[in-house]
Amino acid sequence: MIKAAATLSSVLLLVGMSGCSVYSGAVNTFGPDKPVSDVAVNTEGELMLSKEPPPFCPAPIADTFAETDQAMPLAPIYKQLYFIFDSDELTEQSRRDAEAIYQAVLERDAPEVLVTGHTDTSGSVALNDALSKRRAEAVREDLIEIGVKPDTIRTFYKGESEPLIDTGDGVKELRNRRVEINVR
Amino acid sequence: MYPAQKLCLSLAMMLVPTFAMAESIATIKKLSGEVSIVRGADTLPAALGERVHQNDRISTGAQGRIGLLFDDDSRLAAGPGSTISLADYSYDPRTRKGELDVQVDEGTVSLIAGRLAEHNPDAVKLTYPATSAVFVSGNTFSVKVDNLKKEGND
Repeated sequence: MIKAAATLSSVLLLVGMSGCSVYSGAVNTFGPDKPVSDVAVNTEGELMLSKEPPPFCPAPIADTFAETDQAMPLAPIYKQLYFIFDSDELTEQSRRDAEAIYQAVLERDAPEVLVTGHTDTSGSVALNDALSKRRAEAVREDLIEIGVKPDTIRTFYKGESEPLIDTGDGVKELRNRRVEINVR
Repeated sequence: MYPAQKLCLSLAMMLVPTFAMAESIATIKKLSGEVSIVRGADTLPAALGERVHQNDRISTGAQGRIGLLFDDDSRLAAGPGSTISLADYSYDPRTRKGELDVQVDEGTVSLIAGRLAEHNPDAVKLTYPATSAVFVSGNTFSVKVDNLKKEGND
């Protein structure tokens, strides 16, 4: 990470020194935020600085890909929503998070949603299997209600078999009472 | 195991049944203009939300663009006038191993590597002629390949 940052800053330095950037006419010792240099301040009379890069600079190659990158799919979203104990009802915070996630689904082209229900280890395995299924189904129903096509939603349920936090058996743990939601 | 790893693992495992079909490797998530897919002896029009297969050859028209989301979350965008081949793709969601190789014959292509590259950056690659222009911005690798024959430089 540090190495990447060092590389990046040296690249930026090179770009800056090449003169092919906007305040290129000036020796800018105040940093990139201030377009006025020491030279400009110390010069008597009017000084015009070009706001354009010099004409002999090549067009930035990044522009070549701007049109292409409009077709870049959005990164998949991985989120968790948490539930009230022994219930398929979301916690208040997760209800707010869910709104944002559902909105993100609607904003996507050809969205797919994978929903996996989980429980904590409190209660029997059989009850938890059923509960985790209900949780996944509850999120699925919410998604359908706001207009997501049913055939683009897939639900799975894991009961208490894949806790996020290892608690041992018979422990109430909010972070394990969840659905994992993957928006693609 | 860290919780995040565990989360990823469980998500990965649930992807197994759906993506176990051998050759379907990515979903068309962005589409505009004319885009065609050559699959074996068939030429099909691309459609949003449909799957593409290994060895598919994708061509975009003068106004065409396509965006693919691979099963390992790698993402690829091809701009107008592009021809690419999905030469090689494999992904095991359990181990996160496999490889992606997309051959760019012509046009502009950007690629953001997904999970395949997490443990092995060499697993994800674009193949393109040596004379191409390459640009890297953040996590995006872009390449522009001119068709020399078309421009009379044969």
